Amino acid sequence: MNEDFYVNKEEFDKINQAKNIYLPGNFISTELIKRILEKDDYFLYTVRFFKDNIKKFRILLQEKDMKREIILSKIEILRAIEIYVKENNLDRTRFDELKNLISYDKLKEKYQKKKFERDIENNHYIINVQDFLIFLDNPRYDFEKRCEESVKICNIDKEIFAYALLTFFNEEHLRDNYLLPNNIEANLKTLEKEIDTSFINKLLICEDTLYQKVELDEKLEEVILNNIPSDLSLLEKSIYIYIMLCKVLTYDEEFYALNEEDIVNVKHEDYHRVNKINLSNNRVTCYEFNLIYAKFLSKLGINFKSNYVGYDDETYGKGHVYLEYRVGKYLVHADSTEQILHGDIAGAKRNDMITGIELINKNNSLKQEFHSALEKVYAIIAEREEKKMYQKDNFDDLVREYHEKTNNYEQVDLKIKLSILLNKLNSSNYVGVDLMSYLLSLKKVLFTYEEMRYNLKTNIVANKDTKNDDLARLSCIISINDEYYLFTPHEKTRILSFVELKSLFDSGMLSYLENDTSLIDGIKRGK
Amino acid sequence: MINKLRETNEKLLEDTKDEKYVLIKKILDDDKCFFKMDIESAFSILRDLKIKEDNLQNVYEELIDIKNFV
Repeated sequence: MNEDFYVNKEEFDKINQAKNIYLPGNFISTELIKRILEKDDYFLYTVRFFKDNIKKFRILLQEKDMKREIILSKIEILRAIEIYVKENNLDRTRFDELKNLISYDKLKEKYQKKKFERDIENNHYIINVQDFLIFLDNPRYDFEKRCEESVKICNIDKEIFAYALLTFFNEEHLRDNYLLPNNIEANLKTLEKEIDTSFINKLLICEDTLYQKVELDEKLEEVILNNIPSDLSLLEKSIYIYIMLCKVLTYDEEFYALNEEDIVNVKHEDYHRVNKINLSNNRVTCYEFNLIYAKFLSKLGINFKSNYVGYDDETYGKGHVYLEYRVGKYLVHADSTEQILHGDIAGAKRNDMITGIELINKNNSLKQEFHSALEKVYAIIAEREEKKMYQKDNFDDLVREYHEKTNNYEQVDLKIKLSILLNKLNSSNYVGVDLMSYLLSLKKVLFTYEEMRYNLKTNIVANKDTKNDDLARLSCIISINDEYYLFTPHEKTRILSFVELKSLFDSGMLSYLENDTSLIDGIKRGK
Repeated sequence: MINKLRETNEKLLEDTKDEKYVLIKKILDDDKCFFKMDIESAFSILRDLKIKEDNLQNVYEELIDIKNFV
């Protein structure tokens, strides 16, 4: 028997152009509802759908190559009829007939002897649907308590039970097909909110394989794992290693300067390069950091998946890379280079808050637990450093209060600020991305907003004048009023005229970084 | 260097009981304070701690050195 209800163009247009009844997430034509209530063929088709004699309610216009359709769920149809009948003060007979067909009693009648069978978390489960329905029928207060406090429900781990129940409801489209009583709807929402199931059946095995083909430098491994407290949980250990790697490794300057151009990317496409990363050769791209971190996670027995792992390939060295891993209930996203200058590889050295490692689960309790683990590990590492850890506090308020008490607050001349900036950059032993990160921090404290807007500009640029095999390195151009300073680590800062500076850009010796949107006046981006 | 400033501040607080030294004490409690406040505030604090005007820049550069950044 045909499952679709065919109409001609005139009918379809009339339905489509009529006034609508608005429901959350959809709107339903009043003309369609009117036809269901008044025309027997429409009503009988709807009844067939409500009785599950057909799988889908579809009003279809088929004209040559064109197909237009209206598809609705049972609940949408019923809610729309309810509104239409009420607004027009109509007879409720047909409405009541449809309502009875999808009552909760009908649901129980259909499903109470059925079983839900599924492989969950490497175990095979067969659960009576009756158990789902009995559990959902608990009074609200008891239900909430059981969700929060129980470890098991019906002798099954509560997360597994919740996952099975919600999967069953979703796969059978019960919320679309039956009128659930208010307490059942409310309990379902509580279940989704209180019991996290987002980790279930995720990362049951390690999907990456490349990590098996590389080895970690022994000294690097020793430095990372040395002094790792033995009483840390597995989650805490994974966070510890991540932070330590961010402290020890640095982002590859050449790669950043040339914005991952193919010519420099070639050497990073070879994953064997990871074998040579050590404490002195510590420059990495996102691929290499990821592979090294993956190797450490594998040593901890943690399953993970890098974002370049596809269904049938593992294409390394193309595009930005990060990974996700699982420890028990926690699904974690780890990306140390989501931003280069402000990401964790630079930030961890400043003891800035770690932002690239975060929990994927949405459950609030798990989020708090994860956050506590992150703070605990962070504090352990920061405690060992000479400097106190970064404090999020009311520092700005303190300084403002101080301003009110002192008479010594005066403007500092721009020339003195520039002198300080250049002195600090020139005297630093840092290079590359880490030094540029320091430069950005100095800029923030030395110059006011107005100065940065009207007097000063800094552009970190790619400089092809290198003293080694690198194709480029990072330099910084500081433009202050009409003067230009070219700073390159370990070299004397050059003061250039505009003409000299422009010729360096024109020759390709200097070039803007890809993400630099604030160009020097008069010097365009090269092709 | 920052420890010397803290000691100086402690003495000035004892001698003067001026509230601004209480605030300076709280500010200096943060090892990274000189990377968090503007240079004008930093110079003002150094003046309050009796650092000579022609020495302000040198002392400040010492405080914002990269070894204190990490």
